[in-house]
Amino acid sequence: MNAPAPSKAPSKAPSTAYLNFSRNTARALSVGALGSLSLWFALKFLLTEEPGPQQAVLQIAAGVLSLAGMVASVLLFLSTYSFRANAPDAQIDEREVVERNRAYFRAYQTLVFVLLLAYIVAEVLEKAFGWVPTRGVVANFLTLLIFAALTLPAAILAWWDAGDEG
Amino acid sequence: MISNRIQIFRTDRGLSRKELAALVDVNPQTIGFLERGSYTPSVELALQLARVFGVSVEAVFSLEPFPPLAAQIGAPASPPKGDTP
Repeated sequence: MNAPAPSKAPSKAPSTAYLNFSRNTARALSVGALGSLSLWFALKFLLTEEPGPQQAVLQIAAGVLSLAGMVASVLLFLSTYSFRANAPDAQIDEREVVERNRAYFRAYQTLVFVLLLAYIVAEVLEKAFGWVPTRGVVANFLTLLIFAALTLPAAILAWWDAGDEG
Repeated sequence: MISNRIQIFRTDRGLSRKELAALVDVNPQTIGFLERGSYTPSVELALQLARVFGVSVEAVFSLEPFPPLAAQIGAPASPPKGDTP
């Protein structure tokens, strides 16, 4: 049997630098991150400035959702799925390069869709109700988009992962 | 669609997916994708696989589907030329 000469570095994430979550854990983290942050944005959007016990509870709930979403996002960003999503060509094999590129393209499509949707909703709300987004709403939306942009490629790879059997 | 005999050659050589993956420097998952026909390899990877198995690349990959192994084993030997009337 003739063994070929190695062409590039092994396509494995260094386990010491990245958190080696299972596929299901990474999927749960992705749902937790994007779900919590989306709920946080929706809650902050609906909250009014009027003081009251109900508002205080909702503010605390929004804070908890925000924290949970950010922690889940950071954990996913430190996972091996994030390594594969952001690795240079030399560190992953040719199939993983194709998957990485597809995941980034899908993430780009998703973010553009969300931006377009937000633009249309804002236009409709302005035309129909004279509502103009405040600085706080825009800042919260940008926070949501930043975390989504950071986590989406790794999340997509986790959902596409076929498991150990390949 | 490219057909391949990677699984047949791999089991024939007594290699696990992980061992074969190490020999051609890919992720073991990629071997699974190749064996299922879910991924078409580059020319370089196809040549590396053929080299590991010690056969020509045409023996491992084909543009037409390979006949089932049972049919190949059970097929009667073709009669020598000139025997037919």
